[in-house]
Amino acid sequence: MTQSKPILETKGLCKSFGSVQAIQDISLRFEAHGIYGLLGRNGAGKTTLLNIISSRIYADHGSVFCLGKEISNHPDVIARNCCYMPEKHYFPGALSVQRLFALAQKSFPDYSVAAEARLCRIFDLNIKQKYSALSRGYQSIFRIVLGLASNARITLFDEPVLGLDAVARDRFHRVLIESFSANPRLFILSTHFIEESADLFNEAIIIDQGRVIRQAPVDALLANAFSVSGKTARVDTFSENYNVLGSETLGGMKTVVVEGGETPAAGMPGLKFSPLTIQKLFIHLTASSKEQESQP
Amino acid sequence: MKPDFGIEKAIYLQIAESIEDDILQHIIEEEAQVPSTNQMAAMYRINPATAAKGINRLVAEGILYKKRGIGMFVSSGAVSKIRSKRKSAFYEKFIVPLMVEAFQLGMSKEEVSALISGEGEAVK
Repeated sequence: MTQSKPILETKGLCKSFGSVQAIQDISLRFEAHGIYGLLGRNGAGKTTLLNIISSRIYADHGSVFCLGKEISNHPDVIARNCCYMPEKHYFPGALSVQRLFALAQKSFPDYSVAAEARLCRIFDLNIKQKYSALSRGYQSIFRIVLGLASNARITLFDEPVLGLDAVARDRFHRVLIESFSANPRLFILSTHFIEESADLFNEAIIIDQGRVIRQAPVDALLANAFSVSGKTARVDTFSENYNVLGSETLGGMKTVVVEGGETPAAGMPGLKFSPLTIQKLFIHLTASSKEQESQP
Repeated sequence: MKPDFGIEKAIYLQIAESIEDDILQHIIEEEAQVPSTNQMAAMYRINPATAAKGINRLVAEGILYKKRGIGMFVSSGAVSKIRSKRKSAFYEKFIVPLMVEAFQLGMSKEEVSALISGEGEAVK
């Protein structure tokens, strides 16, 4: 992506909870128009990062800049421009969906009632129901409808498709792209459905143990990694020049997953090259070395 | 319905190739309008930038052209352009893997030729 002025930027964010370092030194830039996928294992620090960006909690060190303003000094900038749909809800359960939408309309200057009505139809969401009566899946749908209808310049979704069936997830992907095309803005969404959502992203951000380990378009990550198999000695010689992410031997044969270059176009005798899926690459990047041994 | 993209190549290339296939098969005729980047992105559930990258590649090759304020159209002569481009890739893409497999199976060139010309039924 071009290096224009970012709408959102984090610099050196750190946050601990007791003795647990949740995130460490997170510096990221987000363009005004883009869909960013936040990928990481459970406990990697995704939610902590989103909580800090949205001013829900404060970092121990580091800063967040929104539209060039440091947010702890300018809380209004985040309040006006950011819609955060966290995984854990804080909505008053006794209120109806309709009432909650009406409150949201007051909070977001560009809120679209038309988009809200259309999305409720698409997802078959009954607005008369109390929030507390919604199932897990419909709570996710409620957050999706509100997040998209808000038309906020910065929209953060933490696990938006949690509890959704395959049809509803597919509908979410469609309406997200439609909404983004009609009104380009910044979306950051965390998800464990890596393979399913990867094509939606301008960039993927991979977080592991509180640190950003990769930030790049998915195509670029995949173009820079592959697996190679063949006789052990041959594979070992070949992979000396690469960053080896994982390996597995079977008899005299070895398969390694490497990063640090494109697949040799011409091929090489005795070696078989295969592309990786983003999910496979993610697993190799984030599985700890102890687990890696049993990871095919 | 979303097609299943393969992992062998980047999505934008697969988008470009699927438009080319539609043109070769006359599903989209020359001088007809192709779906917009945004329509394509929503249909395939992909980032609009990816769809645009695929379309721009075809524009750069002269297979599609832009009518300002209206949209993207298939160029006259697109079919022959795509054919000649794909013919030059035919050897690498189809013949080389064919001969690699034939070699692994211990088949001679003559056996392969016989199969192609339809005289090789006896080999089966």
